[in-house]
Amino acid sequence: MKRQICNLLRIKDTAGVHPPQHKLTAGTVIESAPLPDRVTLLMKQHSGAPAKLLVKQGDIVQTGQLIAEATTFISAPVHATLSGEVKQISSVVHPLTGELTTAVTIVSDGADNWVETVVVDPNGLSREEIIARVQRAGVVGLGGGGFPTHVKLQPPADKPIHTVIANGAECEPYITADTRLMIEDPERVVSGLQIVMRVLKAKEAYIAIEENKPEAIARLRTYLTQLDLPHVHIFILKACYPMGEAAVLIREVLGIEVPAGKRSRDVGVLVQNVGTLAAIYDSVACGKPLVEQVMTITGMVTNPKNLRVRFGTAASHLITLCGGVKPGGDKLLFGGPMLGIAQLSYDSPVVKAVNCILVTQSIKREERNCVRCARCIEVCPMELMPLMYYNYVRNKSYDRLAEYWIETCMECGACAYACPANIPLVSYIHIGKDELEKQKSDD
Amino acid sequence: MKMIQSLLIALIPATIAALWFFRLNALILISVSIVFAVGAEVLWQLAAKLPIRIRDLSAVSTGLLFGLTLGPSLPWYLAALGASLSIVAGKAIWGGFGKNIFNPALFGRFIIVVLFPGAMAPFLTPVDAVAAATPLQIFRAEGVVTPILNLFTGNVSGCIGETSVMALALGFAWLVYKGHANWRIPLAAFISVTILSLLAGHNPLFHLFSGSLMLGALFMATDPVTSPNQNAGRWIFGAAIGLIIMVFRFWSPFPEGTMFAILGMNMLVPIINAHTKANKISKESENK
Repeated sequence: MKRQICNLLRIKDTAGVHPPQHKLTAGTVIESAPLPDRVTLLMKQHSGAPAKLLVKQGDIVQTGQLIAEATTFISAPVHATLSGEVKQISSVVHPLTGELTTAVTIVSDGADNWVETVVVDPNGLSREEIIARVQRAGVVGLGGGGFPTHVKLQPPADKPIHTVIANGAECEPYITADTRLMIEDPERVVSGLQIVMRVLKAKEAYIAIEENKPEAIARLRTYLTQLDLPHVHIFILKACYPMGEAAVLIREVLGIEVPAGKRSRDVGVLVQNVGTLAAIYDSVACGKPLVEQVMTITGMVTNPKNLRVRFGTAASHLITLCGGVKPGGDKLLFGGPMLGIAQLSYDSPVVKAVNCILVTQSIKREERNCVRCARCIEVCPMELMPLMYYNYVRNKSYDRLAEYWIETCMECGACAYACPANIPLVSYIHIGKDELEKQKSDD
Repeated sequence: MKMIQSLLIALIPATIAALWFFRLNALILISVSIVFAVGAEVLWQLAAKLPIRIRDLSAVSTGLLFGLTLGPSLPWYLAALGASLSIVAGKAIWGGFGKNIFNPALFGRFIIVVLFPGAMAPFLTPVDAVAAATPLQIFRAEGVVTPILNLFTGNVSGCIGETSVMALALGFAWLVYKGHANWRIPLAAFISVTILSLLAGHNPLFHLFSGSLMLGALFMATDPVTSPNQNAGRWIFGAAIGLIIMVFRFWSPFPEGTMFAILGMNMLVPIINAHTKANKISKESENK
């Protein structure tokens, strides 16, 4: 009720931002990228513990062969994404976290020989078998989180999942990988969704898509009508950034608030990216390990494309496939313009959960004093107060950050986008979170 | 910055009204204020070895706002002093644009009023520039209410930028349209002024349209730097300003209290902010 009154008083709903969309590849059919001559596979392509290496230099591997196994529950195995020889085991800078990470370089034999995969009917499998197949295939959240999927499929017994939301919002500018997947492959997405529903015994499922993707909505709607699934619904979202963040999505679709410091499973909801659902289907029905993902290669490249890319491929290989960098492009991001991570080198290898490679122009913006205009508060989807984080981090009053629920911030960057003083609020929030963590561990 | 550009554009009608009604006096006061405000900013930034940032127009807006609050017969050198002090004492020594606690233009005016009491007087009639009491002074002395239409157009004696309600409202409407205005603050102030004048048996329109209430509530109380950052806080802030203005008009030795109301409430903004955290946060604290 309070929320409705707030919305009325607001005249127009201003939470979230509306960056220009630049969906250059919305009409471009997904192609399989020609295989590179080598891949660099990182041992940590997921959140959780790094995988433990199983191969050594000189080993011959096949595509899909397990080369590193999960060590703990929250971890995921890594599979070879090319057939060929293990050329080198080295330490490389992780393209997303910047940490030094063990990596295996495989030089292709050009044949792309696959390990044998067992095709089964998912309906004949038990829940445990399904989870085991997902876990063995190394499926992780492909929307950007990289959280191991088998963990999400095993919620604690006292917190059953009643609703699954397939996240097809794709609210970030430029990226079209999920949109194209929904248009071209609704079968895999919906089958993956059904598998997840079965495993979790969920009663309802929603496929949430932003209103500005009518083709994907129409395609899925037609497909669902053919199947006649009474418990799978399509939910059309307002187009707004960051609609695809789990907490925002749950609020929009179900009207449930995820309390600060809690996760979606605490309110009985599982949010899964549509790309991940397709990967779940592949792993369960086809026994296929996760070795590739659809990525949008876009921005200042000559021919932006949606490509099915093997993990470990160097960004430079993909950019060459798209005709090279246009004049002026001098910055490489893994991810979209809002959440993307800037890369040190064009040779950075892609990892699981990278859904976009964006070449853009770096713009230097002078940071000015905060004028307390409170735009950041207005746009924050979690109703937080980013300007207080900025103040407290600058004053080094880190202990006060918790009073303003900094942990709830999911770093979507809407505040920094809206800030008229060009303050990099997300960087301040990063510092604040780190310092708060340090203080806690000191206590 | 876009926000300041919009503010300057929104002040154009009020500036034209000031020039129309107070002619040469207004022209001198406004131009002197802007020139000295910008000059003080440059000198301060040179002396403090800071990057020169006059192109962000914040000094221009402070100078213009300061100029609009002046009495038409104020000597130009006091306007120059006040405008410089607005920048130096009202803004620069706090750490520059964005870090000041008080509205700089009002802070400068406050210093002039305190150091040179009576310098703003005598107030003049528009156009002919004959000494005349302001509507609020007349009301206080003789209980006579100036015709509302004159108050609305601004054809009354008073400070140069405050008289024309029409021009101020027009400018503010544009700010609201551009999305740069905290319309809640003036609305809250208007509501509390209306209620209090009805309680006192006065015509609320007279109180709303007279004195510097309109200029203060629309363009000074809404300064984002010195007003609360939450909607709940903005309602409180605006309502309290209206209350203090009316307290001054009813019981103080001054005919008018907008400046004191806004500066006083500026001081309380951190406290208001601390007690009006964002919705989500307060919801969570309630659940504990």
